[in-house]
Amino acid sequence: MEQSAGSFETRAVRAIADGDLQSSLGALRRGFVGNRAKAVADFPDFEALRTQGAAIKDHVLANLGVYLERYEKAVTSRGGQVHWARDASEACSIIRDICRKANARTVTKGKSMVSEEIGLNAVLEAEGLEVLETDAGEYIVQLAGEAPSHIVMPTVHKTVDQISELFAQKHKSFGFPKTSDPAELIGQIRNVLRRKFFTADVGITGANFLIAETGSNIIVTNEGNGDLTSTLARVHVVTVGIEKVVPTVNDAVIMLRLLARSALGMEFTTYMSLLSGKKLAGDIDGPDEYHVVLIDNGRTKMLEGPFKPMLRCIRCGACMNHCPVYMSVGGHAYTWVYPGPMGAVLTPMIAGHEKGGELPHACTLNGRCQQVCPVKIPLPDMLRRLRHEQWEAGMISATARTGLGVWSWMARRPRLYNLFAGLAARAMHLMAGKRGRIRSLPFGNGWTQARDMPAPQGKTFHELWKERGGGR
Amino acid sequence: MSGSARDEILSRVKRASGGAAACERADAWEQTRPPPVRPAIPGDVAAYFLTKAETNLMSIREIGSLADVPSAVAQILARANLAPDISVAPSLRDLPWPATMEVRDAKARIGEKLTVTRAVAAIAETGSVVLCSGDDAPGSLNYAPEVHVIVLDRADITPYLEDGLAKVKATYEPWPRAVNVVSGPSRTADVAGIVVRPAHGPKSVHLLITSSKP
Repeated sequence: MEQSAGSFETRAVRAIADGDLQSSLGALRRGFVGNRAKAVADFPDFEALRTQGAAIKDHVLANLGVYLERYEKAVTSRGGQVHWARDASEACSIIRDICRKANARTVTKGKSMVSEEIGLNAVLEAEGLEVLETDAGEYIVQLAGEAPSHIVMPTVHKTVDQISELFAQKHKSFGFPKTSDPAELIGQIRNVLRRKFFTADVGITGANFLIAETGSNIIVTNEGNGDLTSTLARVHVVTVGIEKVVPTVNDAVIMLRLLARSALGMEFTTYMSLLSGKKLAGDIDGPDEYHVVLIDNGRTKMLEGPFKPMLRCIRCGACMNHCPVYMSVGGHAYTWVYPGPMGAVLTPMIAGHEKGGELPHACTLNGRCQQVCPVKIPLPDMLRRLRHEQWEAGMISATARTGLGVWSWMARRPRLYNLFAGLAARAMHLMAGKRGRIRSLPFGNGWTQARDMPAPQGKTFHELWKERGGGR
Repeated sequence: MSGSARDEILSRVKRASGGAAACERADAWEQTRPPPVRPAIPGDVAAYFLTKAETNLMSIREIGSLADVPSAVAQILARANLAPDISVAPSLRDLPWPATMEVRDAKARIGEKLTVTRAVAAIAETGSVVLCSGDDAPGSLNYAPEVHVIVLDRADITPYLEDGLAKVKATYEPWPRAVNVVSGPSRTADVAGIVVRPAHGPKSVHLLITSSKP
């Protein structure tokens, strides 16, 4: 889904000045980080579990063709249909055609980030279909005409008052009284969607995992919306990236132990379902048709190159919950569907450097994302690599290139470098005066606009190192 | 179009990974993967499950046998102040339901208030019950009602997720359309991070534990 215009920088500035957003993010920071830490501490050896999760995903990625073929065979043997889509538009056409063939009018949707990735709702709405997000958070952002700002908590940017105001406007025809009570607001959603679940023609869900052994897709939710969507609609469509397959039920269990703890700091979600196709002979309910759309959209390109470990991602959101940049600017500052550190890698990889070019720079390289990633994705390395690729492709600004060029020329001439560094350190020391801080730097205004530069104390590191007899 | 997309994606995938050795590695995987890292379950597995399930906000009542289900359900109905009009899994239809109670055994209705279904297994590790769809179990009964009553036999309580799902594998051929692992009432925190129950699923879940199997 396209988001509002503007560069990362302008959006970030806007986000930092947005008081409502900052208070919402503050609550997120306090909740998620502490809850995850507790869940991890309660587990006997979470580090070993992470190693195991990463090993499963690496094994899958090293043998992906076999597992995709096994998965496909298991699905088709139960009467399900597997579709393959090279890119977003192919995936959307496949789903649009499924809806046409089913003479669909109403489509219910469980939460699916990949459907956001391919821009599915806009395509189906252009067909004249009524498309209803059923996850409470996704329902709210859809009603507001916004994009989710977090992959697990889509409404993390919205306050209760904003949601109350939104519902007072958009739910007017239902005759609900205006309320700021979260339970009543959720009650309105339950009420509005209840009949829709039962009368939907097509139900579309994502999948947290696919299981090659049984041909199942796994959906985890706390709300139960994914199961109502997949069980009650006449046709069930699963949209999923090709990297989501795991070998066996027991592998999925290991991944599930990582997922809820990393995502929400919970041991387990309220609902976890293995759904394996259409209604079987004798079944009392379930869909008449079952379709899985396996989506590439840049994933095979990642598989071929140095960004392969990114395909281990299980979309838990822990990286963004622990990212100081995400926590300052929120998800909408990122230009596309996936925010935070994982988005800073995925956006340039899937949507291209043109769209996500700034994102790898929106990172302090503090490394917390990698420390909390349940499948140990080396996110900072990948972001560094993306910066390098941009440099190679000539995408870095002329000023930055010249500056780095001068620095690198000097750095390769140690005497000159030390002489210059010594002079600069002393000059800055003088500039700072008694306060020891510099208010404004020539060529560094962008940096000193919002803070003072702590000045060097007089000597360079190399000089101090030498004095203390280092390096002997 | 779809055929060529399949071939193109698979050939790119295979070029980047695997090759001839991939099948062998896949076949050997279950044997080569180290044993799962998981929490210890101290003491009696059933007791551990019951404590976990209560933490997950499921109410628990031990009854003798299936014949005691109707009276337990009648009490739940009365406490929740609901009309005696319920949907049950077909295998429970023939229990001695009181004549005052409307009992149907089809899939869920839109305004469903209370349903009664049977668990295939329970999982101590997470305090969850495992429900499978089939010709005697409409899956919609697990999600549509306001109040969900689940009948579980004590003998079907297993230690870990792997064990609960292995029980499904041993019981069903083919694998059921839907295997639902339920760990309490439906919830959401999508309004300002405040936990609200229910979201779309049941607002209360009651376990009736029988001890009829050896």
